[in-house]
Amino acid sequence: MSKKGFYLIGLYLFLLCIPLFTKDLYHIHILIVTMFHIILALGLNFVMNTAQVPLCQAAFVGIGAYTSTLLVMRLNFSFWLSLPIAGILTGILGIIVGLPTLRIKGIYFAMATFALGEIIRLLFIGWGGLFGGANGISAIPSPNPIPIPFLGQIEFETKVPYYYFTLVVLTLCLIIIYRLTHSRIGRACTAIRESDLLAQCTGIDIMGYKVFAFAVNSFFAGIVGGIYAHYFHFIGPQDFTFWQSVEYLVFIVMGGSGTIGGPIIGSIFLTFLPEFLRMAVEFQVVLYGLALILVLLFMPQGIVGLLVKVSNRLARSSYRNKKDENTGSARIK
Amino acid sequence: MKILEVRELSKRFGGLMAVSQLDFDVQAGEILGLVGPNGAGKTTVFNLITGIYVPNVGKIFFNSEDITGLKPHIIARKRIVRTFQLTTLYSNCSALENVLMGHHLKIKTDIWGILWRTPFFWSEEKEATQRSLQLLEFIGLSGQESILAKNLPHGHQQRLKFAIALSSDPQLLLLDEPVSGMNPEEMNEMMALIRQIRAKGITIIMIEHDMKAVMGLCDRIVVINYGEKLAEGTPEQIQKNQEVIEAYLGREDDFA
Repeated sequence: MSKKGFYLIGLYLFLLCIPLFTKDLYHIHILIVTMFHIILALGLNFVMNTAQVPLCQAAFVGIGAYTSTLLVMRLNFSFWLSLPIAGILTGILGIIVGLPTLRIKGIYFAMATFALGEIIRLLFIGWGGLFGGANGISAIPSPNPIPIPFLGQIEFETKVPYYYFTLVVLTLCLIIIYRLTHSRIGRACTAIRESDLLAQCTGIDIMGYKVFAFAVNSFFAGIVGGIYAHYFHFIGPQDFTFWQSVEYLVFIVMGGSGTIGGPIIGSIFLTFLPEFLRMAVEFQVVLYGLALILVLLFMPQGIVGLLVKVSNRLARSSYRNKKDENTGSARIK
Repeated sequence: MKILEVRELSKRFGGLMAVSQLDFDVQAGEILGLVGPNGAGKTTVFNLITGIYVPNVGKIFFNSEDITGLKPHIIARKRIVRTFQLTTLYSNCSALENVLMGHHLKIKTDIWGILWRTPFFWSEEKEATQRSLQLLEFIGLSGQESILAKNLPHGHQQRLKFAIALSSDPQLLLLDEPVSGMNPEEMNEMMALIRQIRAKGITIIMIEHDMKAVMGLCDRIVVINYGEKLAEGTPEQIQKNQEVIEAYLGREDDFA
């Protein structure tokens, strides 16, 4: 087995064991939220690979959350059915919205999706009969227990089952994104980002891939929304604002866009950072802002970019040292 | 055999007739030069053939099939591929990635094949990689697979454009100023490369200002000026054509 695979298995064993070590459910909670963020950032990063920046991510999470909630509470669907429906419905919405809006580029697309996100949020507030208005919907039931033959069933009573379930979903999303990225589809998206003119002249259907990437992202957002609603047991329009959407973008920029590692590291870093800053509550927001500015100033390629740079430098210096040893010459310091 | 027929092609930008009533044919297997002074509408003709612009009037037939007004990626599927005048590359990707990205049309695996990583997916990926390496070798860039396109020297970037274009296996290749900005040595290498591509049975239309390259490479030349066809013929005929000389150098009595 490759070294990479070995590390991955180690990492997963560690992630699987976390709930055994910590009895503090708050830690588990932070990890669950982090995983939500990672999935959203991964999807968003996939869209940004086609040089489009949507600002309606949170609204799409909201669509997924309300869809699943309403299906379960009004129509008595099982969570296990409502969750995929929430994902697929949000994905379809992504296609419907994407077909007209993805024709426009850059800041105009960002503005169009910003407007769309606000419309969706206002719809949640305005359509009180269905979405519960500004008060939102509370007492959303937990997912139905998963029966396991001979062993009983997994009940979603504590945060731990949610942790494992979200980990499974995250893993699936990671596999999907990894495999899409490392294929003809991912290459087509990169081609569009690098030069859409050349891309279309080599037979790449620009609109098709943009809509596809946007639909994948919307699907992810819908899935996260579904889990989110049944995890928090409460959703309201204030959970799905424009600022949330911006936050997901910040995760990507902070981590380093264009890679798969970037959004993951960015999400982890920026979800944990405020928790560490709780030690100095008064300065929390200020320090958060300061950290952001420092990263953008000194690591324009994000955290991943910095790691790559450092590892390259280490590799180079160790190579140089080896060369020095071989030639027997001492370096003048 | 005619591979491309351009009939009464016209394109207007506001009040400017960029291309007007243009007629020409391209024979399979030949190298056709498209020349003319700056702003004559040569690149517009390329943009019309490859679907980036839609003509106001006129038709374009490729292998007797009407391709007027089709989308660029559909036209690429019909195996008409072009290069761009400016160094249009995937700058932040390696040379190998650039060529792999050009293989888009050659890879057929659908989304399920990609998600399940079927044996077909792997065999296609392997084939595309091998073919990309062969193409890089063909254009003389072997050993430089992992260098980012933007870090390659100008001449190599021009060659890489060729490899990207060739990777989708074109029948008709449109080259927009392939030797511009090259030193004589690079230019000779480039001309040899263009001849090699033609020897593979690919028909070529090229826009070029450098007369040495045009006269040395082209079987036939179409001269356009102010969007209209001024002359058509073999390099020798064009060199002797009075109208062409006037368009390029001005009339004799202008100097009087």
